[in-house]
Amino acid sequence: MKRLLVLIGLCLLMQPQVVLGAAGKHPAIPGNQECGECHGDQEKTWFDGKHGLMNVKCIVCHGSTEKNFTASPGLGACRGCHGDQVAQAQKSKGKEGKSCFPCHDHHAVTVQGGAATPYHTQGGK
Amino acid sequence: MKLTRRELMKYSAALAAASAIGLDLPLPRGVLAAAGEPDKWVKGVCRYCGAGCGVYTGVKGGRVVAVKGDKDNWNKGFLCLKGNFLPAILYASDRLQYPLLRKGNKFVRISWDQAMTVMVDKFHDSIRTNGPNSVAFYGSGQSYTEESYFINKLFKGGLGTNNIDGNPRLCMASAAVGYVSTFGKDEPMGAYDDINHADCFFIIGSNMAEAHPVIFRMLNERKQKGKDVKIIMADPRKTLSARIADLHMSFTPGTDLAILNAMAHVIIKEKLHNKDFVDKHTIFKTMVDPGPPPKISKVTWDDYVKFLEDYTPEAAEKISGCPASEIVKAARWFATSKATMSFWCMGLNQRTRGVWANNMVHNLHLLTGQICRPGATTFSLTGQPNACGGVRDGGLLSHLLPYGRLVANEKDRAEMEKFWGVPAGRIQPKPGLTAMEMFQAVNSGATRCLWVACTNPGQSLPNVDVYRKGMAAADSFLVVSEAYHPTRTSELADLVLPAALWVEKDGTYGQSERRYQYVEKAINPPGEARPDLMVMIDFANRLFAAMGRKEEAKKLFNYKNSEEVWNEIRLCSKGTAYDFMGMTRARMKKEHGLQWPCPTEDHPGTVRRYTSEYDVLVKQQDPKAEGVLFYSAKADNNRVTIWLRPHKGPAEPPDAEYPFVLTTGRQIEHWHTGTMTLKVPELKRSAPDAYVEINPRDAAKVGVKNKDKVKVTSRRGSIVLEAKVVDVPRDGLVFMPMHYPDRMINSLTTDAYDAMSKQPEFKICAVKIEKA
Repeated sequence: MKRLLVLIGLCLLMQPQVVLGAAGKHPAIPGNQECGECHGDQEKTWFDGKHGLMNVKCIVCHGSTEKNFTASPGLGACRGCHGDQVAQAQKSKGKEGKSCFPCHDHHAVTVQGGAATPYHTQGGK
Repeated sequence: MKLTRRELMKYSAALAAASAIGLDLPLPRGVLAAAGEPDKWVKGVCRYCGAGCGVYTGVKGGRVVAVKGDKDNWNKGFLCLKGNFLPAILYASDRLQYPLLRKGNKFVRISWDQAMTVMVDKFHDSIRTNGPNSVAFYGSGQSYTEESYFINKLFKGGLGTNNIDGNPRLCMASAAVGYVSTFGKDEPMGAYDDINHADCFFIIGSNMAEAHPVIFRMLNERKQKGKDVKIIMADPRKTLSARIADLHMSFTPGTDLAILNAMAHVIIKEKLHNKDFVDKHTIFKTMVDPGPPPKISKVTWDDYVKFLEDYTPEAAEKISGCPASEIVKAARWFATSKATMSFWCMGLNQRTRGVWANNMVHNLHLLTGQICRPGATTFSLTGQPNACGGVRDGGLLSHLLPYGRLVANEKDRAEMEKFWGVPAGRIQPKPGLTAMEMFQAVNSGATRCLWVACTNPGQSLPNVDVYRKGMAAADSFLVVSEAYHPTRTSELADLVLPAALWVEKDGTYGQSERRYQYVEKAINPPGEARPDLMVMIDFANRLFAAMGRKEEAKKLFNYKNSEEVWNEIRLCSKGTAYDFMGMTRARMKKEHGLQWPCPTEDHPGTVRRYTSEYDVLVKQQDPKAEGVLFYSAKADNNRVTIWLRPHKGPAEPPDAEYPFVLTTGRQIEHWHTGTMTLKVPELKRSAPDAYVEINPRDAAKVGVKNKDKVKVTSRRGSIVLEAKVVDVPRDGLVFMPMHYPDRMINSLTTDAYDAMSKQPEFKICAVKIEKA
């Protein structure tokens, strides 16, 4: 009985909008469809960049196309490889405190404007 | 994904409630990202490949919610695609939480006490009736060192059977025998740090970009930052790794031995060899008769030069299809660079001439003196996180004893019998069953009880259907220790034991560059799952009690935790080439890995072996030695061996009936049999299914377009998969990834194996292709 009640509670808590977020849904696509088939420009930019060379694929930032999808990746997506930089950004109350992409190009992942900014080299200041 | 604080709290509450009733909910990545800072970060090592990247797991409320690379470790904080999603493997819906016993076609939940009773009864009965060689253990390069050491002690020292082998027999055995036959001892002498110093890289039979991405990142960094750094990639597929190559050498699969001899031919003909090094440090040998036992003969430099006369670049081109000009170019770059580093992996090892191929790469380094200097080294890449540490070093192979000792060596046996405190003669002098022999013995009924831990032979063995029959047979008793159920092995088991996974237990991993690292426990395992070490200790004590040897068990198997086993391991390694005495558990908790030999607590670990500049054991062996001393080759007066190895092709070359070569391998998204990575939604989305990779020319020949269904048939079986038409494999070659449990590609592969290493030739078999 206890298990049943908890399960009912879970169902209420786990409404789709809670898990998916309002703006996060990706259209359903066939299992064998690759990202580049619809997002060719983005894929080319990515492939020619550092993340493309190192095979840091779309899923790292965007998740799967199902429940785990996000169109706008937060800082957590980058923490796996860039823990220090994310920790620096997390201290900020500005736009860089929410995402890496105000400063870094979305798919080339270069620093916007081309030149290295002192933000990370100065410890996130 | 954006979550409000309220939504996040609701989700956290849901997770807590689910956990309380034993359910595991998926953790959307957005939630992980939004969950904020973990309560604590716990230091460990990645669960996947043999690169051994340092990681921290972020724990919040008793669950792993994040992972990040260890910036103070060799990987400088970077993780690969798979590594980024590590937390999800812990919370897969098919995590096994309770022991299961087969009843007819079903499994029923039983208690641990019942499970141990059943298992002990079966093993005891088999040993009493048919002797200790009627039971066997098949282990893994993913178990912790303490687990592998303990089970080795139980079987070889306690039960007196050498029928204990590990899955590195399928992936690293040729590399291990290659190092031993050339250098006298196993394992690379160099380190990943050599990448930072090499000017030329010779990479053969390795798709580093997908199989070892963080090492590939280092290589790329060296290529970008170094001056005139040359990268040679020799591979019949033009893989993603070749994107940074200066020279991609494509060749007919199985003909690389001719290329390696031709490179040696060019080096000698153009006088690019290092005569001083060769004179001082090497001898030459050839195998007169393969045996068994093999008959070896010592030969001379002149014999070697004469042997290589036939291997002109032009002759090698005829055999291999690789242009002679490329062979000459590769040989010149290799010999004349300031420092050359070689890498190889399954492309050389999973071959019927795998040991020879390994010897021949070593030959090139010895011939040119490109060894034992920063950047100059010959380096075998490893597929599993503890294949080196637990299995090769720890001796979890049927012919080995711990830390460089051999079953067939009387002195080594006596040493281990004394160390373990067992009667003289307890360890059998004859090596036990190797992996393929073990599963043949299960088929024949000679092995009546088999314990498989932390590996999935029901999917990963070559020619797998033949061996699945034996595993499923009613007269064999199969125990499988697994974190997940069902797998393609656990579905065949009589008893399935739930295993703690990765950071749910603590232990030591030893990776490719001899770096040992401690993995700290971060969370509790689910349900009743237990660390394999604790199950092994429990089983050993119960079995010995049943056999009337309770007092002996108290002496042999009296450990409370992994640290007590680790301390015994340190003592066992003392005075050997491996020497871990300086790697105390307290020190391992603080350090970001230590490379052996590390004989004292103030020793920093050894980046490069066999050279007095870096390796303290050189002076211990010979106080007057300066520079290189191959103390590993004592039997040959510290001289290592350049082998005369002829070219020989694969066991099953293509022919008129089966005109294509099938090779199998990895995708970056997945690892081994997919039991972990296919449970990660993002990785499954990115690489959802197996396929047949075929180039456009061959696809046109067989009338196949991209995404068409294709039937691939070998002499052993067939499979229908989607075609992926890309200009990656050379003409006549098709590739399939190995990871998918519902796509049993090993129904097609051959179980022919290398006579020396007993490693099967997964990489080459003949197939025919037709549109389905």
